[in-house]
Amino acid sequence: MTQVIIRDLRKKLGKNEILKGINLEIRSGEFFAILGPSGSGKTTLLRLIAGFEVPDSGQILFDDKDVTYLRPDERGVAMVFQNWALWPHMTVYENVAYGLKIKKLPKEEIDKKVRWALELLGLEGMENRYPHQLSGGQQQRVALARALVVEPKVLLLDEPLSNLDARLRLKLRGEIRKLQKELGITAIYVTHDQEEALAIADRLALLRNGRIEESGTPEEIYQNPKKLFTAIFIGKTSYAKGVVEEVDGDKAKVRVGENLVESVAHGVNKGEEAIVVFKADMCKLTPKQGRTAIRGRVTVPMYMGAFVEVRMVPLGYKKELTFYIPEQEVPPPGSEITVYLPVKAVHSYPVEEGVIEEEEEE
Amino acid sequence: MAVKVSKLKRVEKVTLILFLLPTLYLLSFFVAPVASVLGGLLGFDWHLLNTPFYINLKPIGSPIEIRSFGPRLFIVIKGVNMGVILNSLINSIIVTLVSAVIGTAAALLIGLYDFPGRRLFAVLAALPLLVAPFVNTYVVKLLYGFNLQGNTLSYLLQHLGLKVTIGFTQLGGITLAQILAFYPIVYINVLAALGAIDASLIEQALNLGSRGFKLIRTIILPMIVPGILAGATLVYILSLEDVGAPIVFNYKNVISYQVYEFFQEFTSIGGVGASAALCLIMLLLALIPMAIIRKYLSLKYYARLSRGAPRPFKRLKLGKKGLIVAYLLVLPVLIAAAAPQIGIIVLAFSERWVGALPQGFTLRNFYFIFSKPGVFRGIVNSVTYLAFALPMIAILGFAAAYVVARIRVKGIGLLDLLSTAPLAVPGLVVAFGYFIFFHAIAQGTPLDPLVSPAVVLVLAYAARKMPFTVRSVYTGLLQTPRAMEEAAESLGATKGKVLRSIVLPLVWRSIIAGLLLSSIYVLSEVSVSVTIGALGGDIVDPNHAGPITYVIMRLIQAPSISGGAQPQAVAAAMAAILMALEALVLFVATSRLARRGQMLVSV
Ligand SMILES: Nc1ncnc2c1ncn2[C@@H]1O[C@H](COP(=O)(O)OP(=O)(O)O)[C@@H](O)[C@H]1O
Ligand SMILES: [Mg+2]
Repeated sequence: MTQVIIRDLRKKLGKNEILKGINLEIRSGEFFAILGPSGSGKTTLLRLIAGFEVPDSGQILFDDKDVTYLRPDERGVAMVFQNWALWPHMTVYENVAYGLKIKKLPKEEIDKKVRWALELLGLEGMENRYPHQLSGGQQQRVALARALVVEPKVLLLDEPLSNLDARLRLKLRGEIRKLQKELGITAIYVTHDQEEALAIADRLALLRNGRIEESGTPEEIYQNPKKLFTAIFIGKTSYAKGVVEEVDGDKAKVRVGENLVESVAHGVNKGEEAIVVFKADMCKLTPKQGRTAIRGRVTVPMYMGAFVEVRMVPLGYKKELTFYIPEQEVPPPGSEITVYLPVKAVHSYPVEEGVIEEEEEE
Repeated sequence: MAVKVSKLKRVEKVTLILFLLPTLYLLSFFVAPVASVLGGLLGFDWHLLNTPFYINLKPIGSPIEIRSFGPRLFIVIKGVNMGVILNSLINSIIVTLVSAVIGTAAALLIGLYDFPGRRLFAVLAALPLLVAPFVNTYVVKLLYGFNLQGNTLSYLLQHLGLKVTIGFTQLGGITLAQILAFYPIVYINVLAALGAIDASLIEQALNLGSRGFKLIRTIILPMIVPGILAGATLVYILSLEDVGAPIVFNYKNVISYQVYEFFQEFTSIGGVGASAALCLIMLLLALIPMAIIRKYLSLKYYARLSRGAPRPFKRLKLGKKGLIVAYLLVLPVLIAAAAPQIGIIVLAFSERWVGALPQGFTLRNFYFIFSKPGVFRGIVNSVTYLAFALPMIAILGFAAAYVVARIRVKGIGLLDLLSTAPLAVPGLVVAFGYFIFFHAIAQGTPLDPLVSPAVVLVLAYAARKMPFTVRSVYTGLLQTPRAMEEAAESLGATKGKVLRSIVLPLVWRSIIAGLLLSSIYVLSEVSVSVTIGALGGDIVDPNHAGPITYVIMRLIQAPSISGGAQPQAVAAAMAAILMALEALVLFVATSRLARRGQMLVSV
C-alpha cells in the first residue's frame, strides 16, 4: 500500500508547457481517477509518475521516498497502456510471467503466481495463445494480469478501456475496481470519460490544460462542482449566460432572458454576468416546492425511449438549451413549455475565459 | 545542481554505449578521414586549377558530329570538353535531369496505371538496379559506343534499312551509360512516393472529375515531388562520384578519374594538392543539393515512405492515347536501359564479343573465375572483408537506429545526420581521405593502407554501407510501439534486458533485411575498392588485396587473359553472379518490407 504525493509538477514537451504545476495527494489503497478532455495532459502526468519522463521541476513521492528521478524499473509501478502494448512475440503466459522472471523468482513461484493472475482475470486456458489470437477484451485482461502479477506499489492505467466497445467497457470497469479493492493496490486511472471516472473512483481530479481544476469524491464532484469547468464537464448539462439579480447566502437568482432562475451560487456577485449550469437530466414538467422554472419555446423534440430530449430556447434568450425530460409525450415544435429543476441541480459561476465554447461567447 | 546529477543518473549505461559506439566510430572513421582531405590541401596553390585543363570556357568542336561517308551517315555523340571540373558538373546535371524525367514518367506509368504488359515494364525498369560495376558500361559501349567495328544499335538500324551509324563516346558515352544505369533510382523513389499516397486522396480527385494529365499535374505531382527530389539527388551524387564509366570509356577529363589516377602513381597532374582540391570540389558539389533537400533524405522521411499508404489506391485504367505513349515512347527507353543488363548475361556466356554481335556459347568464363588464382582471390577477399564488416554494421547500425528512434535528447540529431551522411559523400572522397588520414596518423602500422589495404577497406565498407542497415532498423523500430518497451521497463526490466527480450525479437527481421542490403552494396562497392583495394598489388599476384569490383575492373581493362578467354567476358561472368546475388537479396529484403506492394527505396 503506497501513498503518492505529487508536488508542483511541471513539464514542457517541445515548446509547450504541458503540465503547469500539478499537486495531488493519492491515499494508500485508493482508486484515484484523473479525468480530463483529450490533450489536457493526462498521459504526460501518468508517464511522469511511471518514470518514462522526468519533470522539469516538482517532486513525486511514493510514501516518503522521492522517486522523481528514479528510472521506471526502480519504482515498483506497473502501467497498463491505452493500446495494451502486449508483446506479440510472447504467449499470454510469457507476457504475464515477464515481470516475475525479471525479478528472478523461482520457477514454481512464477508458475503459481501466473496461474493465480490468469485465473483472477478469467484467462485460464489461454496460456499458450499469442496476443493476436485474442479478442480485445481478452487482450485487455492480459495487460491487466501482466501488471497485477508483479504486485506493484502503484498501478497506473491510461485509458485502458477506450479501445473496447461500450458493453465490454462497462463490464471490465467493474472488474478492475473489484480487483483493485481485493488486492489493495493504489491505482491511478486516467480517462476522458466522466461517467467512467465517477463510477470507478474513490476520488478523482479534473485536469484541464495541465492544471488540476478540482478534486474530490465522485459525489462531491457531481453534486456540488466548485468550478464552472467541472460543472459543465460532469454529467449531462446545459448552460446559459445571465445577470445575477440577487444573492442570498449560497443561493443566487440569475436572469436568463425573461426567466429568473434560482441556483446554488459559487462566488457570483449581484449585478455581474454569470453562467448558469443545469443538470439537464434532472428536470420535470411539474412544479414543486424547491424547484426553479425555465420557460421556453421548443425547437427540436426527440423521443429517446426512457425520456424525451427537448431543445428549447428560453423566452427572451438567444441560445438553445437541451433538457432530458422523463416523459413519454413529445411536446410539439413551436410550443411553449416550462421545465422545473431542483435548485441544487442548478449552479451559477462567474464567467470564466476559455471554459465556454467560443461560438457561445460572442 | 542536485537535480542535474539525478537526471544524469537516469541515463543507463547501455543507452550511453549505444549512443557512443556509432558516434565515435563515424567521427573517427568517417568524419575525420573526410576532413583530412583538407589536410592534403596544405600549401596548395588554387591558381593551379585556373587552367583550361580544369576549366575551359571555350571548348572546341561540336558535341555531336554528323558526317557522311558515301551513302552512310555517321553520328558521333561525344559531348563537350570544358575541362575536368565543368565536364563533371555538366555531365551530372544532364544525367540528373534526364534521369528525373525518364524515372518519373516510368514510375507514373507503372505505378499509377494498369495496362496490358505492365509487369514487363516493371521488370525492365527495375533491371538496371542490379548493379554490375564496369561491366555494365562495357556492354553499353558494345551496344551504343562509337566503335570502328560497329555497335549493336547501328547493326540493328542497318537491318531496318537505315544506313546510319550512331555511336556514343567520351563524355557523351559516360552520360549515356549513367542515365541508363541511374534513372531507375528516380523511378523507384517516385514509385515509393506514389505508394504512400492514400486511396482517398486520388478517389476524391476522381470524384471531382479530375483525370488524365490534369489529375497527374494537380494532384499526383505535388505529392511525389519529394520522391523525385530524393531520387534525383542520389543520381546526381552517384553520377558525380562514378569512376566506372570514365574508366571504361577511358575518358580522363572528369574529376572522378583524376582522383582515381592519384592512386595509380600517388601523383596526378598537379600532385596531392590538386587531388585534394578536386576532392573538396566534388564534396561541395555533392553536399550543396543534399543540404537543400536534407529533409527528404532523413530517416524519418524514409521510414514514412517505406511504410506505405494506410490504404493504397487502385490503379487507373490507361486509355488509348496513354497506351500509345507507353508502347512507342516509354517502352523503347526501358528496353534500351535494360539491354546492358541483359547484355552482361549474354557476354558472360559468350566466347567473344567485341563488335556488333556476340559470338559462340561457352561456360568457360565461369570456369575461369574459379581457376585463375588472381581472379578467385577477389571473391575470397570480398567475402572476408564482408565477414568482418557485417558484424560491425549490425552492431553500429542497430545502435544508431535505436538511439535516433527512441532517445529524445538534444544532440541526437547529430547521429541521425552522421549515420546517413555516408550516402551523401562521394566514395572517392572517402577513399582519398582514408588514404591521407591513415597514411598520416598510422604510417607503417597495419592501419596504413600502403601496408595492408584490408583493414582500411573493412573500416570504410562498414562506414559507407551502414546507412542501409540504419534505415531498415529505424523503420522497423518506428513500426514497433514504444509502449512495448515501456511496459517491460515498468515491470522492472533494465534497458539491456529490454533490448534483448523485447526489442531484438521484434525488429530482427529489419536488421536482417538491412544487413542483406548492406551486404550487396559492400560487394558492389567501387570507389574505395578500386583505389585503396589496388594498393595490395595487381590481379596477376595471387595474393593481391583487391575485392571483386577491383578484379572486374582489371579484367575489363585487360587486353587478354592466358588460356584464351576474353577477359571482359570473365568479368561479365563475375558480374552475372553478383547480379544474381543482388536480385536474390533485393527480393528477400523487400518482400518483407514491401507488405503493401511497396518497393523498398534501396539505393
Ligand atoms: N512529445 C511531445 N512533444 C510535444 N507535445 C506533446 C508531446 N506529447 C504530447 N504533447 C502535447 O501535450 C498535450 C498533452 O498530451 P497528453 O498528455 O497525451 O494528453 P492526454 O493524454 O490528456 O490526451 C497535447 O496537447 C499534446 O499535443
Ligand atoms: Mg492520453
